[in-house]
Amino acid sequence: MAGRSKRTPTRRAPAAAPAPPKARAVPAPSAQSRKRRTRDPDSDDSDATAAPQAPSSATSAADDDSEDDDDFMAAEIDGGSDSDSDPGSDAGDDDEDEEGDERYAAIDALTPEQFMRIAGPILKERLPYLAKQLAELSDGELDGEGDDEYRPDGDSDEDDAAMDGDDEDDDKEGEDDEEDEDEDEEDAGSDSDEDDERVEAGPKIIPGPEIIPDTDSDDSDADLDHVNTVGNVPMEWYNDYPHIGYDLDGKKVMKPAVGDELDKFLSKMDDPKYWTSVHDKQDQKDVELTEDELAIIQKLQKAEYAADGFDPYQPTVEWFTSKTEIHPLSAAPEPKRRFVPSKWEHKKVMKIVRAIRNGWIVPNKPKAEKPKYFDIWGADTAESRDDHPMHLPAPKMALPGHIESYNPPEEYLFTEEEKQAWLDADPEDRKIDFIPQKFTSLRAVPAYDQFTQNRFQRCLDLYLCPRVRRNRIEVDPDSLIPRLPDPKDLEPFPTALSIAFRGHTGAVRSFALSPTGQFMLSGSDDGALRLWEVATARCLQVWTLGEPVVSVAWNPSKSVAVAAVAFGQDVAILNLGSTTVAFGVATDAKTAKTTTTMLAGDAAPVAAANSASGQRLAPKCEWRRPTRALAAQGVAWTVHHGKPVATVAWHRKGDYFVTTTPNHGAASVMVHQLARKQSQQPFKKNKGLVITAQFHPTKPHLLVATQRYVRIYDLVAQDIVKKLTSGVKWISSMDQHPSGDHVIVGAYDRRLCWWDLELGVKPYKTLRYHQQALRSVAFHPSYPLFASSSDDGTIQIFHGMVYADLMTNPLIVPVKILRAHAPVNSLGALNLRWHPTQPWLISSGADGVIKLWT
Amino acid sequence: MAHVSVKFTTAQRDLAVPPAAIRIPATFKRAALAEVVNHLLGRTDNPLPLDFLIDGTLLRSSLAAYLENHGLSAENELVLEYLVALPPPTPVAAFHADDWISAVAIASKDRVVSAGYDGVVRVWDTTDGKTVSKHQVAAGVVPLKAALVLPPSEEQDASVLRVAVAGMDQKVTIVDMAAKLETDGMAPPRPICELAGHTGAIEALAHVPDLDQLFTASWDGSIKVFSTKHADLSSGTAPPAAKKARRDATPSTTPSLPTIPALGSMYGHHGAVTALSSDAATRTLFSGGHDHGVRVWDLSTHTTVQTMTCEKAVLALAYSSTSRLLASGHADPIVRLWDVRAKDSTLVRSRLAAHKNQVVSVAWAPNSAWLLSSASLDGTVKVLDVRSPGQPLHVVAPAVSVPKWQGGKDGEKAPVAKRLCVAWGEGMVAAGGEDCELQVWRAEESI
Repeated sequence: MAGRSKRTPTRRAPAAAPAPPKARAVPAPSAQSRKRRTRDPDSDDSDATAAPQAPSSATSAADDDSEDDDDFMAAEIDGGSDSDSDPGSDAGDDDEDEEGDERYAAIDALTPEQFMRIAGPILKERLPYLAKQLAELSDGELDGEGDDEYRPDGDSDEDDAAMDGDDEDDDKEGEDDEEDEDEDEEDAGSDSDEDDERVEAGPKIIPGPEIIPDTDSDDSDADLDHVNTVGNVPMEWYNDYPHIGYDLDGKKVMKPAVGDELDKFLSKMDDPKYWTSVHDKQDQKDVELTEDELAIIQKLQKAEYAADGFDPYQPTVEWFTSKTEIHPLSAAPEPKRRFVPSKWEHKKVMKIVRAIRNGWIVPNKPKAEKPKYFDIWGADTAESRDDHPMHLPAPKMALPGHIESYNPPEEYLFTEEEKQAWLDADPEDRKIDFIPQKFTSLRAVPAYDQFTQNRFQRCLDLYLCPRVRRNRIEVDPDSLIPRLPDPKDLEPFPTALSIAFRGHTGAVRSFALSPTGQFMLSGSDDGALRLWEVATARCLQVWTLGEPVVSVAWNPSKSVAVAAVAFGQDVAILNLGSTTVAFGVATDAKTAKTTTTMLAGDAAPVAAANSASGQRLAPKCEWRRPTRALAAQGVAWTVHHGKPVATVAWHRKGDYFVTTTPNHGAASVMVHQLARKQSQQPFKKNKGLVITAQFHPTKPHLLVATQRYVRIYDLVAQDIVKKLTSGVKWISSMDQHPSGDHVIVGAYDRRLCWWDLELGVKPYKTLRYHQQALRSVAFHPSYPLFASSSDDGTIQIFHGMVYADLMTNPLIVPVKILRAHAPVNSLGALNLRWHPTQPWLISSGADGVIKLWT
Repeated sequence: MAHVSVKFTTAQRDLAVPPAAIRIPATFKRAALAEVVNHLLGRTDNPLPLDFLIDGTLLRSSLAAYLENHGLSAENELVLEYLVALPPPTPVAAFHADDWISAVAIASKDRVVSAGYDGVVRVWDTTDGKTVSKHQVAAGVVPLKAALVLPPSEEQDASVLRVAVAGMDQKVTIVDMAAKLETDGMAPPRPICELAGHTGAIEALAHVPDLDQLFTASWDGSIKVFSTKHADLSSGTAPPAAKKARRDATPSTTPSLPTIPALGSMYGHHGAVTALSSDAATRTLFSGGHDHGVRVWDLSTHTTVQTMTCEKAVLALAYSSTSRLLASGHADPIVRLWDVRAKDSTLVRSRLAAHKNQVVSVAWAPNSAWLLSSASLDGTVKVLDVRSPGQPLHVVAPAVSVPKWQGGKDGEKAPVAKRLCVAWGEGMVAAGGEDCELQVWRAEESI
């Protein structure tokens, strides 16, 4: 297409009228006619009619020579078979086509007599038509078609000049259109009937280009024209060679055979038209100038207009008259809008006026002066641009520091070793990419040799580094904290130390409050058991049991005054209603009598107990009468376990109590009945190291905490109900919510687990607040409170509200930390209990002090 | 706020100063103000101790602090009412008992009755500090919790104090104690009878002289009514002989006493009832308990008239017929004042923050509308003024350590001895506690 666009202007540049689309088809006949025109009349004529036969007979050699030209040849043959044989007729003249050259050469081989015999009738028949065609079709057609291809440089002036006139002709005639073309032909060839016939014959020759609808007919025309396809190279290059170039296959395109000077001269003498022909070096042939061309040349020589019939003095047509008409063109009255101010104009103006009034438009506003120089170090480079909301400012370069200074402090300068190390290191491994240098003055600083490299790296950084716009999420950190009620709204809970119970000399491991909360029993490692009045911390009585007291449990029943005290391998059943006990005075007579009556009598024989329960077990527990010393202190019974007892806990009705003796096999958990003085072993198998056991506050269930699990057994169905998985390493203590639906467990690995038994066997919450192992956990029997004590000496108090609504999860809020007991031998707060009626907490510690927190 | 203009007024006409406003530095406190007033009175050589009231509140800070706390501007003219300051109580005597003193009652100008954890009731002579009379309530150690001196009656010998004591033995023991020390030694006390019926330890006693009835508050949650008429007391039935014989078999030294049952019981409290107080004029009884409630009982019908609750367990109650206020001590360090007759009497009228620990006993000054004394587990006895809610008027007894402290390891300091009881009467304040000392101060109620 480039070729076309380049060619087209040359051919049609002067033409003002645009070429209609079909213009491409037009040149074909013109080209063909032009060819015929340029041929020697005698030889030309031969090929036109010989075309049907000639290719088969005469062009066989040509086919052999260039197979690659088949397509082209086919086109040639189809489109204008005459053209194929045309060149052959120009045996003595310059060839038109390179491919044709061969054939021409073949044709050239024919003797003139032979050639004439073949082509003569055709030529005779067609010559008049061709001559007329040539005369009609403008010179421009010829020149335009061929000027860029084979026109000698020297001819360009003439051609251009000729084209001007020709184009006008073209336009006028509309020759671009094929049909117009036909008409033109008819018009032109109105001389005779024969001409008309030939005109009809013309299209028969033309169809060649039409076959290829999409191919630019200009190109095909050009192809037809350019018989020489060596390309646009200066022909003088091949002056000394027998060929004039190379075809597409690299084969030589031979020059046509030329006779010697004598032949030339003779033919010159013979040829009457010699004087009117010019030699086309590219096509290696003589082109005969037509009459018109000669006429044009003559006109030009006479300094006249080249075009025929151009009248330079034709009258002027005044399309736009200079005269003013005094009468209106229309008699209609003038419309009203001509006289009233325009509403829309007014609106437009008012819009502007309003904008000016509101200050949106400031008339005569001085233009913001653009800074002459751009401050690349200015802060605005990092700012977001108004015109680009997603603008990502380039990362700033680090500002130079002292080390970059031309006169850096001494400590920045490299020592020899550092310098050597810097030089030895890979450029990627260097911490800085230059060696700090010291100069006497800024004048002495040389140009920065790394400047280009530096800039290059910076550019790489800027465009290779992906930049991401990070949207900062504006979150108030406080809002991320779960909304917990203010502890002040959750009062009452213990906040301050009220009373310290002093007297024990050893760590107080366990204590128990009376059901009313008036008294407290505490047992200590020093082997003492003490009775206190809670309100005043008055120690009312001291028992000396001899062995460390590890667990104390006060019978919850109000009708009896009994406590169970685990010390050593025994559990002492203490008759608190006895007159020998200080508490006895605080026990009303009825309760004391009931207690005494219940504790009287003999223990049930162990064997009987075993047979009654249907178990064949060796007696692991024995109810014994206390020693005289213990009996004097009010101990009614001792239950001997054979292994150290760890915990003791009462059933809520006060008749049964459960003891645990770790490392006692299946007898680790024993259930004892107070009224019958009888012990039972509920489990046949040992399920692990038993830590503690408790009765369920409402159901006939027994909870047994082993090292990692809490198992809930149904004592009636004699089946396991649940096995709670704690996830802790070693449980230390356990307590149940008074409703019985929640269990908390403290562990030595500092965790506190809360199970909602409705929710499952996994802890609902696992809390880790303490710094050290948990020692004790406890639910308040009536207030929504629970607490945990730890070896770090602190007690954490939580608000643990349990809702009756099953859909609402328990609310756990830490409300208070009490620094209760100073750790002694890394033992801190060992035990804690809640006051049964008040929101008071009682804690005991390894320091031997019991503290009441209110 | 360098200066404020103040106007001094007084209710005491003989101490009046000119009513003109004076500009004085705002940093002035009570002492400086007293100096100013004394200067105005011309008593520079013999200055009077003065207290200043602003809006019914005793000034206990500088004027500037007062203005700031009340959001007042220094432009305001302050009206300062001055009054002669109450001198602090002066110690009269301190008597050593054998055990913790848990209850104290003032019988007369020179007789104080105390009860202790050893179960012993003592009558002390405050003039010479001797024990006038002493009575062991029961054979065993019965910690006593309350003591009351019943008013003398016609039948009663003037030389005898009729005392009611009660404690953990769930009984009230009426005993006639000798009020005078005989020349040949202590006259033996004469136990009259036991008032029985409770099933829990008795924490408080209250007597209404008009009705001649004794009320007891117990851990069993009930308040019982006993008649203290002489006839009723003496008509007590002696325990059956068999039981008496059995008791005799035990190493008991005291003879069994006739037991008198209660006239009735008043139920209402949940849990222990720990405090009682009575208003004889209106025949009203006030009771407080561990259920955080204060109940007002109408004694003619023995029903609860009103229930007032607060957030802490009630440990002590005292009603003043002078100020008609009920003061209560609680498990927290605050003394609460209730105006029983007001419409919003269920609300605490004011709170006196004076102590650091539970207030276990309060006692009104009998003739003052403003003064009351309180004993606390923090070991102090303080005189509080209703008009000074933030600070006590006087610290009567500072905290002392537990005597003869042996416990504690590594040289642990002896803990503070708890004060358990306080009484105010006959111009005396008496208090006792863990330090086993009955201390008596002479306290002025007004100038």
